[in-house]
Amino acid sequence: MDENMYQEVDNHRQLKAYITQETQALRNTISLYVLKSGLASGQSLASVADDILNEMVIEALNHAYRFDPSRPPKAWLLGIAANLIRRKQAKQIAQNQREPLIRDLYPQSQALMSDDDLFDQLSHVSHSDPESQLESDETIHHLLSLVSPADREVLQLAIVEGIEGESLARKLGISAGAARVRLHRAINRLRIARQAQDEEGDRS
Amino acid sequence: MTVLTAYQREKLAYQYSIALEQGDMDRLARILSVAQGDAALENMLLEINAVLETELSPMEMPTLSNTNKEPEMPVFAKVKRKRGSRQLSITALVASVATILLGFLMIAVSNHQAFQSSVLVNSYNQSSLSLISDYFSVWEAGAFNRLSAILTPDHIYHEPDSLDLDGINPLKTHLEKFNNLFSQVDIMMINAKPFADEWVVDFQLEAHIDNQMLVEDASATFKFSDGKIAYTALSINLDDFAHRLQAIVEASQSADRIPQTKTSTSQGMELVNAFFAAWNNNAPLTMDSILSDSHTYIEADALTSFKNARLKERINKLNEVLVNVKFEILQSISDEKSVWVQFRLTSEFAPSIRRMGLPQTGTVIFEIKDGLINRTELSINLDRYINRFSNSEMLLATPTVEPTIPAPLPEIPTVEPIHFSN
Repeated sequence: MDENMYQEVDNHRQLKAYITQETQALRNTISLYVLKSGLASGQSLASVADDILNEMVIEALNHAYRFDPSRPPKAWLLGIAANLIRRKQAKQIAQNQREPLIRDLYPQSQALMSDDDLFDQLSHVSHSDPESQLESDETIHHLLSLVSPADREVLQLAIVEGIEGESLARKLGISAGAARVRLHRAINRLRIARQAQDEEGDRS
Repeated sequence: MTVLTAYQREKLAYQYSIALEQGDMDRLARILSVAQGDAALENMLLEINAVLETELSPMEMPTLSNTNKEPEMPVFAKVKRKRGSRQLSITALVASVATILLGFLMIAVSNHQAFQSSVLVNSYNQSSLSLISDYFSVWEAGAFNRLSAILTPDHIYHEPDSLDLDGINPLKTHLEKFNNLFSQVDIMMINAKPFADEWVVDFQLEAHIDNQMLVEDASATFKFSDGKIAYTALSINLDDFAHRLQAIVEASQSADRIPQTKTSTSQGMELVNAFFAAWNNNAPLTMDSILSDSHTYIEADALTSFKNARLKERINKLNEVLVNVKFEILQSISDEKSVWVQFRLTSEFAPSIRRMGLPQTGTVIFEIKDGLINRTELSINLDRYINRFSNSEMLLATPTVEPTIPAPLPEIPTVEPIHFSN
């Protein structure tokens, strides 16, 4: 048996052990993916998530040689699951003659401003040099006026005061993950609000 | 590999959240592929997952307790048996196998049809899967006294090319003898799915002897009655499996005894390489230059051997069913008269290319005479390989149109259409 085959067998065992130990955690995350992808919800969610989990394990074990054993397997496994869900999305669309995906239900205007634009813009504003500070302050004030007080609070902390990650979590009294989710949602709502305002301006 | 900056991680985490909210699995997968190379980013993403998972309602979160349906998730045999290394002579092995075969002849043929009608339908519950898992654990651990708690008294056991075993004791004897041939037996369940009134389980059988090992993929069908397993059918014949591993051991031992000749080794290997290349490239005509006129080709359990013309026909026929056939040499040993090769065969099943076939390992012994291959003896049967292939196709029914594995990490972790500005 050559070195590669030994490696493949080792990978196989490592993946198997990890999946056995983390089955429920993987299943939870896959359920989240399935739900968010619009592939299933309600009572069918568990069944579809189990199918994806099952197929993910088959794919992972069949391609164990492509796994880098020096790294934790979770991101690799979830990447496979995401691809499987993506494929099922495509298949479902084909079957339903273009039934819209959740992402298609978002306003078309969002295509005009990519998800990244506002993130970059906010980052630029919060790290601007003193000469353009005045302009930045005006921009921030205007942007924050577009969102709810709750979103304004987290955006104020993250953008104006530059508090990120663990510090932001401590300030908000929640976990780092929850703080990120809250910030991301606030940015996204801000993006939508701004886009709507821009469109209104164009019309008038 | 480039290390991500804190800003890049935050941005990717943001993009991940958005992709998830929008159900954009394509983008999600690409960000996950970047996270494979960055533990801090991976932690961020997993934290986000954890938060979002808590927002799902209990009804939406599938657990064993709230799914009515039996989970179709992979289950792995739990016990890894590590018995002491047991040296077993060839004579003992042959005697054991002969005893097993004799045992088969003494067992009456069961009425399979009559049995089928007695099996309870719709017996899908958690205990079915637990029973199967226990069955493999018992086999792996050699704890055969526990079989009576898992199997019905009139349990029927089936293997290809063998008489069925009726009742628990014959099966116990059969499996016990099989296990005793090896220093270690490992069974890993790969996949389990219900079909009609039965469960079909793909598993991997691994056995070790004298520092040699053989791993083969197989499937088993289970039927249930009165809360126990009433019928088990394996897709492989365990005696054949034992023979295949023994062939590996024998070849390894003979290689130790016979001094190797450099010249003949090189010449023999050239012929062997040309043989596999012709097969892999679906060019059997090129074999004319490496096969002697009296060349004979033999497969395990084949009714007849093949002369050159029929061998070429067979290769053409096989390559119509299997595509992307690849024989890969894992190891080889040669002397003046023969070359022993352990190979791994992979291919895709042509009728509906759904997935790559699980690899099949085997051995070939090439007899070299006057600078040509005079005899080729395969340890596997390719018809059986195809049958197993088509069965697993039917059972798994997992459509795979394109690779699902995230691409290898690029040197620079770019996730289109991200343009890092920092």
